Amino acid sequence: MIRDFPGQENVDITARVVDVSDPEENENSIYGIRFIGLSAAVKDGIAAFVYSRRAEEVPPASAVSFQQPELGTDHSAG
Amino acid sequence: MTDIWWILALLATPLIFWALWRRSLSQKPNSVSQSHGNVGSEWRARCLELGLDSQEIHLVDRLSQHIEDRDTRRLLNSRIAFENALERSLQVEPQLFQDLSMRRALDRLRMKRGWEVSGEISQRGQLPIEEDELHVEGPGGGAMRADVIHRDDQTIALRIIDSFGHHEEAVAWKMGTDLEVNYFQPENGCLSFEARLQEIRDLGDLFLFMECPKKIRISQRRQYLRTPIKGRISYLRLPMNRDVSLEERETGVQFGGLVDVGTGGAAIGPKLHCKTAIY
Repeated sequence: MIRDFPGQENVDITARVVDVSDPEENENSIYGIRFIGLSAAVKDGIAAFVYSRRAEEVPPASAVSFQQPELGTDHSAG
Repeated sequence: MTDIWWILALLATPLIFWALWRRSLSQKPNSVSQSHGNVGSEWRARCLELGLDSQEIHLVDRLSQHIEDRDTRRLLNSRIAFENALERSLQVEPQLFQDLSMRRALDRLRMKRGWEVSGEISQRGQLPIEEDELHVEGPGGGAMRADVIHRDDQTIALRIIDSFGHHEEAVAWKMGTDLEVNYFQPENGCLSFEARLQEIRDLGDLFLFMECPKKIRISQRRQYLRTPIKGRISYLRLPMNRDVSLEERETGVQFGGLVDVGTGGAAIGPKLHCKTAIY
């Protein structure tokens, strides 16, 4: 049960521990957790946070050179 | 006199039709801008905050017309909702993606949201960098694992760590041999490219030189994106294994730091014990 999660301070988040780092490799244990039973609003809130951070990291569109697909190919559906 | 009026009327008729045709042409681009104008300012601000450009916003707006509640926020936060709307729009208005700019917007949008991107892209940042480990396959079943030690515009230099399969055949690769290379970058997923061998040089260790590729393929993108984050949380851990002794159980509230967070989970770091509060 997690409290004070950034952006979700008003809710208690339930999670299951799915991974624990090897204490020989890392002195301080790192727990990998998976959220359980989040409401859609909390899920959306967390997703919005994650992807807005991602958008900041991805280079602007002008800096990315996409290969132009040939006309007539169904490139978009993949 | 009447003849003159008839001649003027005959001359004017084609001019009127030409003017109407020109007017209809000039109105077509406006339909796109009007569609852009339909997007609410609050929604547009939210999209800009997420780093979307005008074409991507236009695409999301078009897709949102094919979902029942037009909840554009969910469209951007849920990959399933997005792909469902995409599938519906492809059925209803397949001409949407005949526009090259829309197809590119779709690729960029998926990339920005951390969703799978199919197809080939050419992007400087995704070329292997020093210390990337590459899996190099050649003809005849030979393969090598090698570390990148240098890269310039023409050549990637690798130090061979290990070879397997038909080792002798691998070492005997000649200049110009076609190679298939796969490697993994944590934020990009599994990438691959094809290149031609320039040279294998034995200097005690084996070194391999290959042409720098022009195209990189994304074989598999990370489905679950993790974003580094710093923050302090408090948590209560409830052991599910009844065999754990009381001494091993962490009782009371713990305090820890967040390491990273994804849409489905997170990693939490070093904990400080505090037994003064109970949830």
